[in-house]
Amino acid sequence: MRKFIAYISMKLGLSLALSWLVIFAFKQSFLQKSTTHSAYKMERFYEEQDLIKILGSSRAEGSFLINPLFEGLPAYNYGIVGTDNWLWQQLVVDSKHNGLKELIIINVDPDSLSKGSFFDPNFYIEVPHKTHLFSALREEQPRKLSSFPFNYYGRLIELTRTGIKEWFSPTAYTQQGTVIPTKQINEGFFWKREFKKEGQIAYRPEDIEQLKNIFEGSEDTYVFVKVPSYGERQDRNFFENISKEFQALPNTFFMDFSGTLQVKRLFVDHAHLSLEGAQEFSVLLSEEFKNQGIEPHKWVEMQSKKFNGNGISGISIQTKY
Amino acid sequence: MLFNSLDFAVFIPIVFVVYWLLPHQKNWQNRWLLVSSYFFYGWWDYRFLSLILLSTVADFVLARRLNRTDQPTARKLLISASLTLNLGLLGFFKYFDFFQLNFQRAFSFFGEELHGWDLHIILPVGISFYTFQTLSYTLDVYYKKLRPADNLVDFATFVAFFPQLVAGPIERAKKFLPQLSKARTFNFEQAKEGIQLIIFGFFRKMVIADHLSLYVDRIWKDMDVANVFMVVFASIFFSVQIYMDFSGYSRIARGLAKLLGMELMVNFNYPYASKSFSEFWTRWHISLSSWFKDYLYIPLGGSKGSLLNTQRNLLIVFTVSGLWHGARWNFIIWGFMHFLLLAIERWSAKRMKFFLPSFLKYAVVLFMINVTWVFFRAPSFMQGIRFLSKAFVLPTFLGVDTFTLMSPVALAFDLFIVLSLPLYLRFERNFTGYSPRYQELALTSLITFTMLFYSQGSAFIYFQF
Repeated sequence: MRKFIAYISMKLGLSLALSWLVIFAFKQSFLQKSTTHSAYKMERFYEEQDLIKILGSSRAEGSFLINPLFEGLPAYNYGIVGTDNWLWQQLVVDSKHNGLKELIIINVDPDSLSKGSFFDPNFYIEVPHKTHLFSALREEQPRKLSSFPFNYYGRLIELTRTGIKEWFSPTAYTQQGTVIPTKQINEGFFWKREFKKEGQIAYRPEDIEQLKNIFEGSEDTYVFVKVPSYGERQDRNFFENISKEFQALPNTFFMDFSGTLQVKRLFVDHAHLSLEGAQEFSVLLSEEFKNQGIEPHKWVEMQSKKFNGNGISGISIQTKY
Repeated sequence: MLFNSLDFAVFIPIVFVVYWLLPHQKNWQNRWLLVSSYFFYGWWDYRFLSLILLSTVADFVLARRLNRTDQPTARKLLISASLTLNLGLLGFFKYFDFFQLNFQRAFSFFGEELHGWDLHIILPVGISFYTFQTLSYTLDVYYKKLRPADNLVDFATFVAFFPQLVAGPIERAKKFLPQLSKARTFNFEQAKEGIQLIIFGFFRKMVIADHLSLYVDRIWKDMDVANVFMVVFASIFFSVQIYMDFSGYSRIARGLAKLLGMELMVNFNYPYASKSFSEFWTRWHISLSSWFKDYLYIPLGGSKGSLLNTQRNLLIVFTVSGLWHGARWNFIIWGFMHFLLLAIERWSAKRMKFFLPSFLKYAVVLFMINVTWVFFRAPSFMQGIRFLSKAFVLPTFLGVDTFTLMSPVALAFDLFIVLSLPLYLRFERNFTGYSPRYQELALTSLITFTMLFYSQGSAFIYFQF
């Protein structure tokens, strides 16, 4: 039996060593900084000093165009597919403590705050451990969290195929480093599918309380946006139920576009804008920015002067992570 | 406790080491196997242990009584008691809700409201498997094909042997009890064979089946937007998934048994390489189909007698087989479809004398088996019909909407897995013929590959039965 235990231990040990070697080689060559767009965005969020951050789900990713909204500004679209209203909540907490004064634009999905049940573990592969996001993930999905190289086990094939899909996508477009993958128009999602997200936003009291705590002590400015949905009426409850909780705070703004742009060709399905739709939406959004007195160019210039005494290009604030 | 879980990764080395460190006496070994098996089973829910204990003790006692008497009435009474108890437990835990619901529906059809009991019965894991295993034992004793077990621990170990407890193979006492009646000695070559089977099994389950399940589950979840391409891919992928999932489990079970010095029966023999539907049933889930053949089909008269009688016997066997899989109409329909295929095959074999090339026979069998799996996979009969109706939905221009739910890259990966499956199966079949150095290299590569590319999957499909 000893011979057999030695045999099996050697086999397992060799396989483990080989798999580590493969993972290390993959990480260094293929996966490093380019695992998936989502992982890249998470890394960038904690490393770069973008003063304007767009947060939210796929609806944020596909709706907010950096050009013309924030052309030439240190802005980046951090919208990540499938994250509903969960991820941005964690990111605003981390933003609050990063030493920057930021303009944070948040796309709110018309759904109750989900606890990230569809959250793809690939996103947090390189998330620093001392962040609120990492703690939240540890609380929500402890079994999926592990350190290198174990964080790659069971995900490598998904990472590889998602990575290939995203980095060789001929239909994606890039604006100031933000890569937006375009979607195919799908009639099925317009008409045939019962889409649960048609519901109103129904925050739980404890979630509202948590958000209030974040906003009250923060030097960041938050703009909450509800992007257009095809066939959805303007959701007045959005303001009645949620925004009134925060309207007293000077650093929060609310913009509801849910009932606008009701032209089918501007959507790829009834929840997502097409590129043309996003361009039309940018016009509406910049007008609303003006109406509410938000001027991104002036705002960034003021922030950067305050920190560095010079213009936008001189931003060199170090984040904590 | 799932085979593909961390719990099991801790459990099995302990069982293995203690088993072979114990004195090499059958009593010590069987006791340890029994304790380990009950621990394994109780890990799901310790309350389920009471059922398996009840079934074990009752069948042990009844079989011994059966052996002691030659009086036909007493023997019939004793075997009836065993059947009532085992089928009663199975019927209550597996079918109570199903029959109650259908009675209620039937009564409401005639304008009568019938209120049932809402018992919320939880289905004990593997109950269908161990019930059939113990039934085969008492029936064999009844037919005087087997002497009853002398030792309760031996018999309890036969019923609860953990590698095959929850999803088979459904072992026969005639083959298994003699293995328990003598002490096992460690055999390096047998243990090595066991490890090979375990590695192949995990590869089948965690790399092939679990990966394909991602596509299959997605299409079934968002069936509304499916078109003919998606339905075709999803049904082919499911056919491969269920084969790899279940045969993967069986290989792991056989491998674990070999580690413990035991042998379990082969449950799959390349079923998709069948040229007829009757051949398919000699290659798929062999332990169950042979059970039905020995304990239901042949006692009913089998294929002796008229064609009509044979067809009736087949109908009964496949209806029961469908019901065995689950208390849902779609399983009964699945069984009925298999009956129809076999009935047509038997009928046409006697009347139609034209020659069909082999490749066409393979293709017809594969295609029809594929269609039957749709109803096996469907959450309900109507969902199965809806799924098949999507085969008439044509894709849009260039078929780009085929990639709405899954990207072309993901689909290409899955197609690669399916298309390279014959090569992989050939590799497994010829494995022992390769040089020892190549075998070791291949096994290490398979473990590494499974570690790296496994998909975070779920329980084995047959655990639900």
